[in-house]
Amino acid sequence: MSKAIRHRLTGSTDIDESAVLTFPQGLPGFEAYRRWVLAGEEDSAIRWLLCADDEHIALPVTDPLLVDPDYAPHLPPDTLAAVGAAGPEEVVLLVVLILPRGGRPWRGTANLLAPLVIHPATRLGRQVVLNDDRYRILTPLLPEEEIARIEGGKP
Amino acid sequence: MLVLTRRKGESLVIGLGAGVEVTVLECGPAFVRLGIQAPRDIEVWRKEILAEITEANRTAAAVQREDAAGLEDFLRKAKKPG
Repeated sequence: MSKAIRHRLTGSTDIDESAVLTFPQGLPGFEAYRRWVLAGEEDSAIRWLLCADDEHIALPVTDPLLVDPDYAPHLPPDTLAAVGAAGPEEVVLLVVLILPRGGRPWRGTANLLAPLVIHPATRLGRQVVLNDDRYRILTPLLPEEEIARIEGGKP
Repeated sequence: MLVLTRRKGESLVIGLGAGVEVTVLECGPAFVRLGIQAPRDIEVWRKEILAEITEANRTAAAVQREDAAGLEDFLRKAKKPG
């Protein structure tokens, strides 16, 4: 069953009820919201996790491997079980981005410490905090020299 | 706030039949190590980290669509050799 949801970021979007992802605990900061929809092209680097029940709430997300090609966190077995996964190969990881307001998106950060763990088949998700000191909440999206190169090329 | 004294190896139970149990595993001068048993749907967070992630999520959600403009190319270019 498909219905249109309105969202400030995407305008009116036709979504299938079956596309709704359920985060049974909500997300930290958005505990009351359990139903989310992933919007944006499948192959697009930046996608949007839209709150299905509040058109003002959306989080930009990306594939953590685009930020850190070696990203390979150990996922707690309880987290995997909570989303209905038998093993880490069954889940998809996305990380939440903080983008500066009004420009310079390359100065954004990704939350590699607390990825979203999503099971595509059960459509259950959970944001988990890793017990892993390799990863940070505010991880720069690009290395410093890359930022310098981008900004050096600007007037 | 309820205040209880527990020794190493002792536990406390939260709720009747809720399956939540906290055990003191180790005590140091400035820390205690706790073992927590809880049903899967009860998440356990370090409070200060939960606060940081709450803050990060709320900041992330203040985004406008145009704030991401161009980022896609930068991300892909930066990661592709050559």
